[in-house]
Amino acid sequence: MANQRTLRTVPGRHLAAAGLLAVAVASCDYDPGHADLPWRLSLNNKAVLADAGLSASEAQVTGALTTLFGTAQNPRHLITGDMYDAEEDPNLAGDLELSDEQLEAIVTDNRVKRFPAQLELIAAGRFSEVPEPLYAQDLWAKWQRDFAPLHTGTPGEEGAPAVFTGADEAFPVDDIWVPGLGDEATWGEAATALFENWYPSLRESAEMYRAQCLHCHGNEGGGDGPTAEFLEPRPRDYRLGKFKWVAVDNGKRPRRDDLVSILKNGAYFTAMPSFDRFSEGQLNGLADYVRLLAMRGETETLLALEMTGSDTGDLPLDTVQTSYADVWEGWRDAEENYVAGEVDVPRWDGMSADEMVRRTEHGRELFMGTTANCFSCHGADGRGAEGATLPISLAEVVEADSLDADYERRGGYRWVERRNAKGEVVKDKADQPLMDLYRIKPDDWGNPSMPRNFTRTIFRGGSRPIDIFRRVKYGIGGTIMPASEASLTDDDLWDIVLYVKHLANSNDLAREYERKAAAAARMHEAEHGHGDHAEDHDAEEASH
Amino acid sequence: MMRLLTTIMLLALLVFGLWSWVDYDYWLLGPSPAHYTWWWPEEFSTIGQDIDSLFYLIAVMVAVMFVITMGGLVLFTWKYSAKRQDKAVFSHGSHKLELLWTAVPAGLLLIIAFSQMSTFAEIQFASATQDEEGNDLPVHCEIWASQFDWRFRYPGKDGRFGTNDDFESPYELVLPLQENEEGDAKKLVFLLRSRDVLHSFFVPHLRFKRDAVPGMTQRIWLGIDDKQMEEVLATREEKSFDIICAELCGWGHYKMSGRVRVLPQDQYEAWVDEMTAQQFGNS
Ligand SMILES: [Cu+2]
Repeated sequence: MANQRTLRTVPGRHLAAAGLLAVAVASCDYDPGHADLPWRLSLNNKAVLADAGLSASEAQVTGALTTLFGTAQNPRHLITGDMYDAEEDPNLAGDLELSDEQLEAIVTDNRVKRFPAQLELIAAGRFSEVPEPLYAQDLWAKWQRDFAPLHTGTPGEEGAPAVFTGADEAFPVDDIWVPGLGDEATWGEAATALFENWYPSLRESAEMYRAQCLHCHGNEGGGDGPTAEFLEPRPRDYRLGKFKWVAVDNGKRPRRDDLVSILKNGAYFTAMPSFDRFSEGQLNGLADYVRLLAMRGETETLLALEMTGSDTGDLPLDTVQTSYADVWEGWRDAEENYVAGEVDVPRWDGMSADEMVRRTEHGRELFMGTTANCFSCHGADGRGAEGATLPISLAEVVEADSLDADYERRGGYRWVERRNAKGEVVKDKADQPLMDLYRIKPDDWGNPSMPRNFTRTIFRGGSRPIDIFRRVKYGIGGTIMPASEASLTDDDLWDIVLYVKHLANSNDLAREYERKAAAAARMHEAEHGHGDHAEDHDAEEASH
Repeated sequence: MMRLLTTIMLLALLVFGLWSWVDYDYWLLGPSPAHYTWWWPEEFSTIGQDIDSLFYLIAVMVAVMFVITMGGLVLFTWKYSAKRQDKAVFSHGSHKLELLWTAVPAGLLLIIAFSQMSTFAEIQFASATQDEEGNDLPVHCEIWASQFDWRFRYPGKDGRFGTNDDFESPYELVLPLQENEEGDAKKLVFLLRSRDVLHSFFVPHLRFKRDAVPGMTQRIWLGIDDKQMEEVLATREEKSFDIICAELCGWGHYKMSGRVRVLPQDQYEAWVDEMTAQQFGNS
């Protein structure tokens, strides 16, 4: 009778159906659970502590970090002593359990950013004098659209026109709403809120980070989110404090604007998209949170090293403070390391053809010469790691500086957890087989160095001449791309940039397309003479 | 019991299908914004009307077929349930019926095939991006799709790619309102390519959609009806229009967005000036 069994006779079929339904319903409300994820120590630092037999002291490092940076759910900066500057922005997350002094001492930025001048004037009722902020164009546009048209002269003064005269129809439309309209105090409140709310709090930014960035960059900014494994190149690990596409001196900490610019423009040919759909305030807030994660990661590494260096395996308070202050130092000075306006960009578009050829040729000589030495990584054809042959210096680098134990100690490797054949979770070095295979030296994040292919037309950190000039002059922090030799003048460097652009331009696919189309048209002409092309073209296209 | 349950489920499917068809954007997106028509947002493309009528023609056909087939399914599920334990009957089938259900769908397919031919040719043929002499129209900009964003590369003031004044606009596609000598909307031609996998460039308000295929350079074009655009703009707060990726291209597919901004000729030129200044700037 076994072959006559039908669905009706299967025991427990109702239960199975109910179970399937339950799974289906439950998965509709899938929550990846990121909201409650705590910050953890990096695998590198855990390894450093374990090597020194100090695994038990991990809690001390975690505790110190919590004091300094709060938790992933309540992130903050703790500023001590002379770091505190009352002028700066208290970017409070809300209900923190901190002492009043601590609360007072929380700042997030290394420059004034919370519009103190504007807020002061609004509080004084001197609305018409509110100056345009240095940044936040969207905020300023809103101010001009919804607030500035509402008044003339100085309100409150004897005989001055009333604040809202004749401007009712221009009153705020979307997210700014002032109840009652006629009252200067409520209007001032709304104006204050406009300036104050432009910037999200660190907690709000952290939430946004978890929604938009975590899946690649990881909860701690370690570049190890769930989707990171599928990406080439790997997402940035912030915890080294190094960023590639910046306008500061080599290896220096980036300005917030550098981070915002990457958020806005994306890094092309990587998985980092443009987040232009978010407001300027949101992007600035995100950059602040990224910086917090970077500082936290840097501090963590310093603390772990300090701990292994000490005999007692303890972490005294003043060690924590000096390490933290060291990390702050680099970020505080970011603005001073800004290299904008350092040179004028030559207007190549106005250059004569002869001059252009001469300078490009000079750039090529430098590119292939031993002083600038570009060719040794980027290849004679400019195709870098994607060229037909491995650029010579990459192989050399491995022999000279062969992945030594000290390198490992400095955190050069990226550690990952893998399962071995027995199914046990083991610690392993990421990408090691790849690097062994190609004998390529890793960069500071433990990824194989991949010198750029210049024939790709679009450059990751921006394709403008000045972007490429900065890469050539200041190098790229964290990678084997060095800052330029002092013996090379800016003019020399510009010629190199010109040659690099020439490599990109002459391989421009769009240009290639035009060339092919022209060649096809010529061939067509030769074969068919001067006929009616349009119809033949259609026939050609259809037959493909 | 089983008979009742199955029939009710199928009936529910039928009702749900019809309801979603009638009120498509409501259950998916909530109440329609003012600038939405039945299924789609309002459009301002020169070929939008053609595409919409094709879409609705097919949608109506599909809906009618859906009701007939699903209705039949519900009916037969109820009527010929296993409960009845009828004796099986051997049948050669009905020749007439078979002819009918072959000829009707074939006829419908032919209607679709013939009604779309001219529109397809207008959009897709190579001649669509050529002038009368068969020369390629100049390219407005290059659209690069990549996991997971859109990037637009403009040839700059000289109108040629592969020169130093080319500039890039991430996220935002800026278009000029231009007319040709006859006063019609000028065709804007783009090169569409993909860096990695299949994507699909889609601007719903322009009914502008084409797959980006890695290794392939496609010439696509677009015409903007400026009067229609004014009408659409009047109904909405947002002055730009969404670009989305309409081909599931990986885990970050949902992030792949952009926006289109259309500017009058003089403002467009000012924008190009600004981008050129940035290209040679040192900020
Ligand atoms: Cu896509």
